[in-house]
Amino acid sequence: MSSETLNVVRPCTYPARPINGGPLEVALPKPGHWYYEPKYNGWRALVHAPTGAMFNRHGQHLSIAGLFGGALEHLRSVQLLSEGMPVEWFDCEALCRRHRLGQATLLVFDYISLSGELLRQRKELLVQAFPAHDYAQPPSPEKLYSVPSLDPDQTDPHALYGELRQLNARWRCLFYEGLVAKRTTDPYPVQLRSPDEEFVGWVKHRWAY
Amino acid sequence: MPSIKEKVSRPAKSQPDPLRKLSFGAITRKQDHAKTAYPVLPDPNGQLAIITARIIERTAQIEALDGALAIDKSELKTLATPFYFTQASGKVDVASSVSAVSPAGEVLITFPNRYSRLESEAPLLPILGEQTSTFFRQAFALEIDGDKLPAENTQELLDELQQLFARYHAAEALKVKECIKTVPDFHTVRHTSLSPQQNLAINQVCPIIAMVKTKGRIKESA
Repeated sequence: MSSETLNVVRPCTYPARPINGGPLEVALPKPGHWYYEPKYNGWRALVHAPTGAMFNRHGQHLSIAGLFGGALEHLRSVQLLSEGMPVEWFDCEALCRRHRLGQATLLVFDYISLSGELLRQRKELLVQAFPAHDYAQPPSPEKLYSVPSLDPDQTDPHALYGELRQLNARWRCLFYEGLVAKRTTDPYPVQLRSPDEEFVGWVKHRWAY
Repeated sequence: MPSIKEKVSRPAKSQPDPLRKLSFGAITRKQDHAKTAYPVLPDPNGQLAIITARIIERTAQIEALDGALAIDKSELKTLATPFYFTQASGKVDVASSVSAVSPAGEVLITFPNRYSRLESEAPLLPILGEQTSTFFRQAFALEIDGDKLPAENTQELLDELQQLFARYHAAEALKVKECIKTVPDFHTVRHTSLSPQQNLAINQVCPIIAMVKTKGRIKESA
């Protein structure tokens, strides 16, 4: 894709920014139904699949975008339809430099649905379209994965939280930062008002200390 | 008799060193991600460790409480907003807050004259159509405050400003930041000019910066 084409593309939203819920051990119960997924230690990337343009959480071009050619090719090769319309924008974590695992790999955890599909529906579609990352295994480099959600009705988030921490110790790097809880009944919060605007439908729980 | 000759590697040609870099031998190299080592405060009786642990523990508790409170407040605002627009519809004098009561007391959901700025008017057009300019306007800032310029001469002034900078070959020094914001009386006229449904739709695009207040009202005695 030419640099002129890439420069024309502008992000359709700022990536959803979770609020801080503190460490999971002390978190209070949340009203409603929430999924949990691992919080990866990488670079937030909003990806425009047709052009391969990648934007950071401030809506600026991601300087490391050139490293993700293989993953982007995979992303472009799959046409995801949301309510009959092709999905163009994907919310991802780009793995690069922060640790040695899964270099140049993209983890797709959401997409921008203009028809307002709920998180539950978006997640179902994503795991059908892309191979799901098994959190217990390090991702291969230069690959594309979807990030499956865990339903607390089936898996205890506290057990997962502890397991991710153990995996970090085993892999000797901060590969996971904690968990992100996401309310299943919310559409993607599309907004171009501010990159700092937080979305209460996503809550991060990190073990920062 | 054939013999196997041991392959002796030739001594490597010494490569020129254009940077003439120094060799540091066995001196420990600083790791890229190494944590900065700060001097540690002496703690002979363990008192500082107790305070430190308490700060960490309480910070985590505050974060957890803040997160839980943010979810509850957002939920309350979401539930109160349709009621606010419905009860205010058609009124000129609109209550600034709505009240939510519980056995533990009352909280106010306040709807002040504060709105987010938009990057573009595009999301408003399907809701307001040609009426968009009645309720929203372009705002901008150069090094000067665009809001304080006389509206009727603004374009002329801007054109002259650009010409002035161009004359001094300094056109690139001018940077403009623009956005779409509500007109000054939007907060009051929206209730008489627009339906609750239109107001709710606008609120999805340009939310009123509502707040949940738990303090400041004197409890009435029974």
